[in-house]
Amino acid sequence: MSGVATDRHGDDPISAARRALVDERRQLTLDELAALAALPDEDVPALAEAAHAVRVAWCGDTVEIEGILSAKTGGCPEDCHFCSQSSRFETPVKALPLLSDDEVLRAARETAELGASEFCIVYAVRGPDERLMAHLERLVPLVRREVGINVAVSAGILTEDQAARLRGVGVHRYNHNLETARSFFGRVVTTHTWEERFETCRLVREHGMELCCGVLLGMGETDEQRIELLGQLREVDPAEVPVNFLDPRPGTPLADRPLVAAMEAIRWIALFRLALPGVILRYAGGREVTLGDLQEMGMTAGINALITGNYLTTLGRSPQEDIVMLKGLKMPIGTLSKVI
Amino acid sequence: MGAAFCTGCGRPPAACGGCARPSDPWRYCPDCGRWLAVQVTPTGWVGRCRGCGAEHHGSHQPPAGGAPVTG
Ligand code: SF4
Ligand SMILES: [Zn+2]
Ligand SMILES: [Zn+2]
Repeated sequence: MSGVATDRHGDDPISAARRALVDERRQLTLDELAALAALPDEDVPALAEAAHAVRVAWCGDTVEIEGILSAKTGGCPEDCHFCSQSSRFETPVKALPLLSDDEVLRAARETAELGASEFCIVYAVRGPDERLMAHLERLVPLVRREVGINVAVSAGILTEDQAARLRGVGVHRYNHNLETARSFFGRVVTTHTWEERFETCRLVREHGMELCCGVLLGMGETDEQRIELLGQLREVDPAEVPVNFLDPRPGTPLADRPLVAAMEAIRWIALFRLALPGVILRYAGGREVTLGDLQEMGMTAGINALITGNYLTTLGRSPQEDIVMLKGLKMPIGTLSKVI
Repeated sequence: MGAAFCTGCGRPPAACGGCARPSDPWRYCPDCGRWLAVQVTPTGWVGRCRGCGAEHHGSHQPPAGGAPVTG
């Protein structure tokens, strides 16, 4: 350990955080989290170890596996500066038509065979129109019945009526990411507001679906803004938080941004767990390029779920590599729900 | 026989020495250099060429240091 200051119990801040969360079951304040974010790099392994202890104490050692499918790729009217599916940027990802029910069913079966308990169907849209709603009202019950897997959906900004209808057809989780802090959002998206995203997150929970609300780190936000985001995530209170790291996409405004450094990624995985002790914290896009050989370390730094196989438009590593990793870590695969 | 066109940008080898990344499916046809309509799924990807009609497939990112799993 470095010579960091001690608190009134004579603890260093990492031990104090661990005691608060494991022994006292007290949430850390944003100021406490900011102090942990400022620790030197040599403290990251100890921070990761504390986050792992918190994860095991709050959530156990089970890992949840999910597969995701882009069922409507490209051609999105929004301008999220990190996204290769926006029609506003010259990227090699072009618009494809909506997948057929059979194509979605085949992918759902293959996902279930990988050991996944959750299958998320994703649409590159601002929000669902009536045609997409009718498609979802047919498809979601079909996938549940034929494959017997939990079905999650990600289809953008919802109205109250749409949230109720999706809940009605059995959508288990709805994904809608905050992506980044409110104070940074306008730098990376101009076609809709952070508040619109927040409101959809609220509707998802109000209508009884589990909220999956992810983040994307590495777009140029500051450490302070990441702490701000953690506070805002606490407000929306998601069951699941997928953590994406920017994999800069050719042709997008963020194409030239550097990758998040691997140890910085581990630090922030740990901080997310320490801030959100009971959530399903999922490895998502960019983990391979950002972490490389350190992916196993993330599993003992607070992560307790992963997207396995490929992503929406990019490739992940082989699911077999994830299975081998989990076996080596002696972490069983199963389903999770949020710990209150 | 090497690919006639770069699968990352569609240019001939004289113009691009290979810009395709392991985390990306092929985006351009190695046979004719035209854009591929690419569908990615959890277990693989398929790219259909709008130019010559060829269909290309692959699975995942190669293991670190390994050759790309594409064909
Ligand atoms: S709304 Fe989704 S699909 Fe559309 S540009 Fe933004 S991130 Fe991409
Ligand atoms: Zn190229
Ligand atoms: Zn071709």
